Amino acid sequence: MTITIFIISIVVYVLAGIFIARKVKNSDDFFVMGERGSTLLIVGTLAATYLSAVTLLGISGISYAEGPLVIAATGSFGAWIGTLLAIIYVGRNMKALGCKTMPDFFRERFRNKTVTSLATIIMIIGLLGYGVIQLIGAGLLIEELTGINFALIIIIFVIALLAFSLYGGMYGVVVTDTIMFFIMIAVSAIVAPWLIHKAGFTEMKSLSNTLEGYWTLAGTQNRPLSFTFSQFLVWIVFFTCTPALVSRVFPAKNDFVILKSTLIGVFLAAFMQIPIFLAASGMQVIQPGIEQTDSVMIIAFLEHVPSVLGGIGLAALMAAIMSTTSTLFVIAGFGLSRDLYQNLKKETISEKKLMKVNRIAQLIIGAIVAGIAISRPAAIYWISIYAGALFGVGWLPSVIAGLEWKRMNHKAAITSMVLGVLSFICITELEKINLITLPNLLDPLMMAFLISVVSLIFVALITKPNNNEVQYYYIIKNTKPSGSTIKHFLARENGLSELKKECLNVKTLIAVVVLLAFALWGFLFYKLGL
Amino acid sequence: MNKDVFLLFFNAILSVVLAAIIVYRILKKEYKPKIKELEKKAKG
Repeated sequence: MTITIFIISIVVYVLAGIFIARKVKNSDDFFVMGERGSTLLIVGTLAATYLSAVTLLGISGISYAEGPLVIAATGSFGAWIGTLLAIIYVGRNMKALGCKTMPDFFRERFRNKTVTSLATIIMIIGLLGYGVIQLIGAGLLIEELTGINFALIIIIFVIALLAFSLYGGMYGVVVTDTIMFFIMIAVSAIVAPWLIHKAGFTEMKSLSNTLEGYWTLAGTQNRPLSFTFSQFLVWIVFFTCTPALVSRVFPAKNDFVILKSTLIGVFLAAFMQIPIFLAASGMQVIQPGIEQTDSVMIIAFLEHVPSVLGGIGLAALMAAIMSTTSTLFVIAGFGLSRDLYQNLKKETISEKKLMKVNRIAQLIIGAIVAGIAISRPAAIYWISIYAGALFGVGWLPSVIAGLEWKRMNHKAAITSMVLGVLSFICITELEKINLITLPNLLDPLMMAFLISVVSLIFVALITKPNNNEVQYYYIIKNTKPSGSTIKHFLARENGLSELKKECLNVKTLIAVVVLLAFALWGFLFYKLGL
Repeated sequence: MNKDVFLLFFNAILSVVLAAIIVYRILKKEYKPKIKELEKKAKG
């Protein structure tokens, strides 16, 4: 069954991608799907990007072994808040400024090639690390389950991903992500509840009798409070600034789509994690003693649910891997072509040439990803550790200061990015070889984030922004994200009444989502916490 | 009551409530004044 689902999943996504590619007529379609994204498509692509192999394999494994609260209670909370900020603050403001990629913001705000190149390099390294490690983990598991050779699995994945990202660009990725989203949500809504029901709430609660600390933040390993706190910080700084989430806002049709996607997206962020982590804990009742904990959900899909649900579970795993890695291909491809190549070229590149360069860039990224994944060098572990943190320590302080502070300038951005990234690497390595010991409650990411922020403030205070930087700051402050949407609505015949209707729709959605959150999470708390 | 379990579900609700407050504030600050202004114009 696993091989069949693997092949069907790949074929469906590739066919959908090829079909969508025919709709791509120009670079706007390619980079931001012509800004025609509906709420369903934006929510679909956000949620599909959000659920990755890390959730279904890694964190589910920790939930099974140590307890569901170890990562979910604070680390995941950081990710939910990070998702909120990525959509409504960073993404919404950048879209209002006309950005089609995140490095567009750095280019327009600072008009400095070093800043744009640095930002793009940080982005490509971060995305490569995050995507490649997912591909390797997934490849190893599929090899174990199907017996297909690891290198062949990686090559099939890479070719399939290129099939829809090469010609479909962001358009292809958004649509295929939405198809994948429906499969993924079935795991949270049907498969996970099935497993929880099979385990039983009472039995799950009783796990703390045999496994001490199972229903605590510290878990069975009795992790220190600093771990809990650093998990929260890591995920919030990573998600707030990750291009994988922020760039999903750019294809939105209008501001109402962004507002609705914020409400549904934040609800789904928790909904696509908590039931899965609880189901993984339920597996501790159903089948205790699994040693390879990363495989716990795969064992659940194969052995403990009806075969149809198991098939959905495995297809969702494939979808989680493909949606996350397709993001890597498209955004890193945009980074190499649009942000790096075009930035370093003196003359303007034509639209046709830009799309051609982008496809070549995606092929290069594909070859690099396949090469790294197949060779599995020791350095990949190193890359994976730093991948997520790079956006937090390298980008976040410059993005926030760039949006909010008049004195912010390119010198402060360069200093903050370089010192943030270097200090994070140095502190992590020095701590690893026991040359330094950090005080309790502090970890390398927090230290590096602090250094990045302090250096930014210091340099911004002793230097002055140039005229371009000051002018663009005022453009930011005078650009309301709602402005173009209001203008667009009022250009229609019944513009005002349609505008009022959309506001009412958003208000209704607020009430529905809040009620749903209280009902669902309240019910689970009643069952597991009282 | 298990306080740690409470924290998990409280955080899940809190993130939705925060999103709701922010979105509502945007509607109130950016859309409502413009709609009122246009309604006044339409009446006048």
